[in-house]
Amino acid sequence: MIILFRSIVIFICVLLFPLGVTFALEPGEGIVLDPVTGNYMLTYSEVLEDGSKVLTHGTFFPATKIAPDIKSKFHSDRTGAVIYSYSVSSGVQSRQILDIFRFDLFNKVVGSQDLPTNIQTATLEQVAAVFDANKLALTTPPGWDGFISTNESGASRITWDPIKSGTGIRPGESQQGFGFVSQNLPGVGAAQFKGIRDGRNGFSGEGPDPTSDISKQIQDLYKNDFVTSSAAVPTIAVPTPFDPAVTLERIQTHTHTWIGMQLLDPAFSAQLDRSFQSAISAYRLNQPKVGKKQIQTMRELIKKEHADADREDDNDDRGEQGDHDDKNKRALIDKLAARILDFDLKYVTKRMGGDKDD
Amino acid sequence: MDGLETIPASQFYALTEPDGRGGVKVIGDNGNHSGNHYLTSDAASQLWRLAATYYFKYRQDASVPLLHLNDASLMWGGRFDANGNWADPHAGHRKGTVIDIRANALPTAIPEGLFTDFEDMADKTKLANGTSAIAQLHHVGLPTQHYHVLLLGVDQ
Repeated sequence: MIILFRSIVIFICVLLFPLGVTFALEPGEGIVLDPVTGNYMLTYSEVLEDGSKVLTHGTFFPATKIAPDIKSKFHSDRTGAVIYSYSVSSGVQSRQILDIFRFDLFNKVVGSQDLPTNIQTATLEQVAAVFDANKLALTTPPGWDGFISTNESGASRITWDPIKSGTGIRPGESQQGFGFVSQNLPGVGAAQFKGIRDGRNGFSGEGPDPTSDISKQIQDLYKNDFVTSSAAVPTIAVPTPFDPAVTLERIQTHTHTWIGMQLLDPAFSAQLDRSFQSAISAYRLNQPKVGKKQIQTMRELIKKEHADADREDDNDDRGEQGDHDDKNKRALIDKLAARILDFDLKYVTKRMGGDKDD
Repeated sequence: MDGLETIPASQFYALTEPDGRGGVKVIGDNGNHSGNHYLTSDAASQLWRLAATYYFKYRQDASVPLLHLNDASLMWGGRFDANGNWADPHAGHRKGTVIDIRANALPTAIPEGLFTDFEDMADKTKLANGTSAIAQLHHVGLPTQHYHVLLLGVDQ
């Protein structure tokens, strides 16, 4: 389905080229998806050494011929940190071996370190220590390698790939054992996946003029050469010192993004909002019992949609139908979103010392 | 353009190599310009991170050389005049954010068996602007084959 969707997007773009609606390409230039191979046929103007221009052809072999699925687990430890773990599978309809699994996080995971910023004075030992620490900060299955890259904005990219090239998760197979610890609460985010390409990408010469529109479009192919799937991802920063009202506000704000993702029914969101507002006000007015009751109300609403949303070891994120009496009725909240929201709300209650009712 | 700096020396990559006469030469220096190794500080930092990652992954393997750095940008940026006639369109290399890395049949090049790994390595480093470096193979199959690395994710 994802491959099909991506194909449609590209196809639409290609359709627009001749109309001149979106892009200013030179005559003959374009990117066309070959529906049989799933590869992109590139045609671009290239400037030769004598200054003349010729149309040059090439092929872009995408890493997106995969149909991945991911199951997320998360639970909190005694310190309040959240332990995330994942199992990745590759659908039988995948046409490539899945060999890259990664997350872009807004923050750092517990135990990760930044590389030294002064590249002229950094020693081998310092750099090695960072790489070693970052490996240890990840849970990585045998045969795979984990890598963390952080940047000055505080964000990080976590990547796992097989140690032995050419290996990975074959169609119909799965791999568990990926994970990390974060101080941030889960939200619904995107896990990114890539497959092993069918051929090598490259240009016979210098490639298209970097200032041309066709060059920008080709760069976009490179940049977006992955498939995503929803997962529980560290998303909501927990304030230090802990503040239940601020935490709830952040959780509420995140749930609003689910409406556009069709993970949350707008009317159900409005229903939750009333309890969110009451709970936030209660905690601000130092009325923790009222706040806790409102949280409990929200958790009961969630439970009506997915009876097992509070099971931390549940990794079945399907169940669009929910747990209504009417089994044909679509749930008002997605299963993964329900599990995440229930966890986040329970976390606030726990941090306020009131998890006894659970 | 302002703000370009010469790439600092590092144990993680090679900027020079033996000239065959007992001396050393700057890689890519063909005598037409004094200096082909200029980058912005952000791009130089990104290059260093990529090279360090490559170094630590393969340092136990004696058959894997350091990354050998060819053209980046000229001192003042602008059109990269590779042949001294201002006509040769050495694509990109104008703003100090792109560098070529040797990937041909020479023993100092990235071995072909590591090409995919190198491309993935570039992609592993997420930048503050949300993008990653992109390694694109140029002159495929030619003696001048190299990786054209968009250190800040943009060809310019």
